[in-house]
Amino acid sequence: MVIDLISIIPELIVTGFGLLVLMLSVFIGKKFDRAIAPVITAGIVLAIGAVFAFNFYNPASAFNNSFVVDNFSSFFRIFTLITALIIVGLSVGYVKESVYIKRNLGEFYFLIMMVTVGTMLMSSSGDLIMLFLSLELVSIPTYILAGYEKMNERSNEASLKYFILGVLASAILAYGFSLIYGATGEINLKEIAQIIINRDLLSNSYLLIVGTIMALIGFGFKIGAAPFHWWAPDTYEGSPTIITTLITTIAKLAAFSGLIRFLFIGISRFKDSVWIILFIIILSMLSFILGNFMALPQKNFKRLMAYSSISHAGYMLIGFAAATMDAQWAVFVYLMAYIAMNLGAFSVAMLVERTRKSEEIKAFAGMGYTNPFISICMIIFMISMVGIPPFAGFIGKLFVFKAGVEANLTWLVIIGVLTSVVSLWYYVNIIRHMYFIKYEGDAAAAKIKAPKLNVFIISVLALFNIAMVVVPSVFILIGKNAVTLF
Amino acid sequence: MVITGKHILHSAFYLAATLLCVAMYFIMLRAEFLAAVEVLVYIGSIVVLILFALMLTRTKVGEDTNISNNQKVFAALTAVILFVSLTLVFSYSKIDTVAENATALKISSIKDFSGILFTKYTLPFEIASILLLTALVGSIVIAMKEKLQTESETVVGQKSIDAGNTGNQNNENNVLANQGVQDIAAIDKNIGSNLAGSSETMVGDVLPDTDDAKGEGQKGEN
Repeated sequence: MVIDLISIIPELIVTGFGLLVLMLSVFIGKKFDRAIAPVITAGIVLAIGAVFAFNFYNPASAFNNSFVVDNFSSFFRIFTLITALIIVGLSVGYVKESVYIKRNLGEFYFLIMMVTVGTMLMSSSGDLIMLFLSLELVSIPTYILAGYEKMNERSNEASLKYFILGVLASAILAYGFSLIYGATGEINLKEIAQIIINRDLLSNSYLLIVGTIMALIGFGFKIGAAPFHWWAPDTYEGSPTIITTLITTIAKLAAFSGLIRFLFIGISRFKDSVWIILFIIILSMLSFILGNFMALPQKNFKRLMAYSSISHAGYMLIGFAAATMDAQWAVFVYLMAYIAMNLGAFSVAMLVERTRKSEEIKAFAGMGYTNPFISICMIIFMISMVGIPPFAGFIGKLFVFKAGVEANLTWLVIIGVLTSVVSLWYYVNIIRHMYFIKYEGDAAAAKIKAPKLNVFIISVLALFNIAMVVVPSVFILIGKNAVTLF
Repeated sequence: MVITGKHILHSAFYLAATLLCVAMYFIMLRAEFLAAVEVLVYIGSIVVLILFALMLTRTKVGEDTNISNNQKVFAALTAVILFVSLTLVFSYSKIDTVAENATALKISSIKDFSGILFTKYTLPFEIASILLLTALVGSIVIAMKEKLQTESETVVGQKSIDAGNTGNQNNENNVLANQGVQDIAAIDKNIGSNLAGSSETMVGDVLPDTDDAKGEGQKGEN
């Protein structure tokens, strides 16, 4: 029992601070608003400390194997917490200018904390029930947060679309899980893997294959892979930008860590089944083709990022299709790069939006001359998104593609490379707007206001993007260590 | 019938009937406790809650022909394909494994059930409770929204707001602006005691009921 509690200390801390903020904001009222972000930050930092102190060298399997502490979960928890920290940092300035969020600030941060807890639980879940519950714990707060701008019709639309499609996805996921339970008679992921190997279920049980594919459909919704991506553009566009950032980073992290757990531990031999591999390949191919080509005509930055994240999900799915050991850490490294560049791009976009009140790509015009530093960082993020050296995105793509080629999926990789060439156009378009197009708007808004905290976060993220190329071995080592326990 | 019925009240009753049939299935599978829970929770509270929501929020309960649906063919096709493929899968695979497990677990009485729930599955249980709390907070946030509008109009530099809507309710809300903060506190305090009642009276008294329906609907979901 003690070891059970020790293993979930980080989650307890995050949940506790979330509840604390909720309660204090109720009882103290508006006066507490200024203190919320520091309290939340303290909570997250404490949780990071707890992961290092209690979990890092103590692999454990708690709560009847439903909660697993291994390298993967420890790394993922720290990764999630750092992402959450950055999002909280970005939100400090953002919420001040958002009339809606400011009103229910305690609840806002409580929900963000719950998303974080859900993601942490997801990365360490050991059975199907935990996978499902933690995915819900990630999803339900994001549905609410997406609709946080109450009178904004777009925000309502975003929330409603996300909610209906998300619930449908959860239902399909749950049904898939129940079929897997029916086929194997186990909910524990490791035991499922054992039973599948013992009874050779992947070659003779259609129940299991259909269950796995249905679960993949459910996860596909959450990671926004085509053809299950229809919620993404509208939700990204309509949600408050800080929540778009949350959805595109933490919620994606949750879905991917769940997918890694589910596929690589649960259905560990999924490579044996042609159907499952074929399904993943189709998902991946559709994602990066559709994502990149649909992004071309977009004029709204958030919509563009939605399609861009669909295509990135497609690239990561190549790693799942390859299903080798190398592919596992390649996906992990890609995720790190993806989170870093997405956070960066959104934090710059948030500043632009706050000053110029527009999310259009046009709003970026001319900022290359008024705000040289931020613009250079934005160039780094954009180039990194395309996957051209010398930035993080390149490292991520390189290893995923390498794993794909090694698994004899060269044709898929070639299509991937070609479509990422297409993506060059729309990413560079943003850079073109920043430097070669004059800003025609309110002269007061020409110079983008950049609070010190945001500039600090942006520069840290830009440095991270560069660091991933300068010392890739460190990140490869992290990735390798994170997956060795499988 | 639930989804094709144009009268929302009828749909609710059809839903109750469907859920009753599901409960029957549970009894046939020898999961009596689950059947009882199904009846109690789904029919006893959720359907009744839907009816309550209808009663309290809609001025006119009647045929709602507004719901346009031009995807009927596509939806039917998908359903048929899914049904056929699942039937094929089920008929080709050995289902007896499921039955074995059900008997192997020996969850026959409520005592066994609770024993397992609080020992083997403690963590999922706790997470489910957190999940419900989150949903509760979220539904209150959504239900609370409408009344605090005036504040938004004093703040310069707001983002796009539906101008017509704010204009209409401007007068009512001026009075309420000051109470807003206290109301949040009051409602949150009342969660424990009587959620539906408290938020219903507070929000419902003053407001046109549109957003309230949304909040109530979400409570129903949960």
